[in-house]
Amino acid sequence: MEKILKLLYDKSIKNNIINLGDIIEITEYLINYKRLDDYIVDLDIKSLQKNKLASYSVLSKKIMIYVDTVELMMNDIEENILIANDFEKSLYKNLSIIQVLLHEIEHANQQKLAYKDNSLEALIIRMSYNCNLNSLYNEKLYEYCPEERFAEIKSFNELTTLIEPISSKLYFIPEIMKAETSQRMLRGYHYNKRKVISPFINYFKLANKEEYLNFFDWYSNDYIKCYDQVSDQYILNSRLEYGFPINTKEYSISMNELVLSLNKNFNKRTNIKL
Amino acid sequence: MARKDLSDFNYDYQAFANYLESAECANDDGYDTYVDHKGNIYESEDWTKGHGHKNVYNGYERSKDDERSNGREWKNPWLKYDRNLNLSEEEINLLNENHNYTQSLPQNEKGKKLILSNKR
Repeated sequence: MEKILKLLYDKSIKNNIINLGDIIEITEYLINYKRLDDYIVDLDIKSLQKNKLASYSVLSKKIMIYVDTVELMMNDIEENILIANDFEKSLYKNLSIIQVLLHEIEHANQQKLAYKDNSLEALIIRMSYNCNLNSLYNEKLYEYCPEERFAEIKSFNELTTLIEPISSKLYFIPEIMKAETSQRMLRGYHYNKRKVISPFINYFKLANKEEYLNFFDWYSNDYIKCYDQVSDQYILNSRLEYGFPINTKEYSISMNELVLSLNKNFNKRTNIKL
Repeated sequence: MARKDLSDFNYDYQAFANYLESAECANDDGYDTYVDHKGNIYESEDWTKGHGHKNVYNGYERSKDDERSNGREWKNPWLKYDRNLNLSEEEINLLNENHNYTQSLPQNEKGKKLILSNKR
């Protein structure tokens, strides 16, 4: 991964954004590094497709990147980030593009994990695959979807590891990466009617596969009992990662830290829905 | 009219997905006004017929019944790329209660219901 860091560093120090050639080079490196050559056979760049930044097709084993939306993301960063130095601003833009790529590569990795691994993550992915695949495009389900949450969280964790060798020399990015990861971990959690909705539970309920929840011995229809049992087995960080239940206090503290950090580092990154 | 649920679509998830992202769903939810984080304000009584566009910063305004507002995809908030954190009023109130955190809420002079993009 040092090779990718060096490339990003060299580009960012000159205030340059990685180009198509760099993206292809990085993708090839990551396919080898993650041993995904059976799962990714092609990378293509296209224009706009609605609001998508990129996509991965299981059937064609192809990653698509939609340049217009990436451009929109670059403009969004330029307009709204409150980083004072140009190097870190460029580095953040480049990291954001790599995150999009890592996210899609993680979807390919999930195909491998799902059928070759017996971890909890693999089990959840297999369960999710059993839900109607078309339903993943449902806006509501998309927010709660385990594969999407995993891909987002893992890609930001990978970026945090990637910049680790130079993080002591960075003023803004380590905190921003922490906030970005936290935002993805809190994705799908909503405080509603004095309860915190778990994205994991909500996903399978919305997908009409509530019976899958009974595979988990901590699950209960009773909100408090469910929280007590899951929190006995998993620490907060793991629960946030898997989308398992958290309580109001945990939600409030985590969300407050996130909002403060986003508001410190970005202009207008927090919206309110009334 | 209330929002439809899966059973209204005979448990066809894709049809339900399309509905959730549609102007019809916004109509059923009773949204009057849509505000994005840049301060653009969109108003409509019928989202399926397009909507007006008013920017509070530069004064640009297009009437909601202007024919140019009909069916313009670039004003469809459901298709807009957005990486922002979106919180509900109840979530903001919880943060205010527990952390004395103050967040200014967008105001609408007509007192209509305001919504912001719910994509993350």
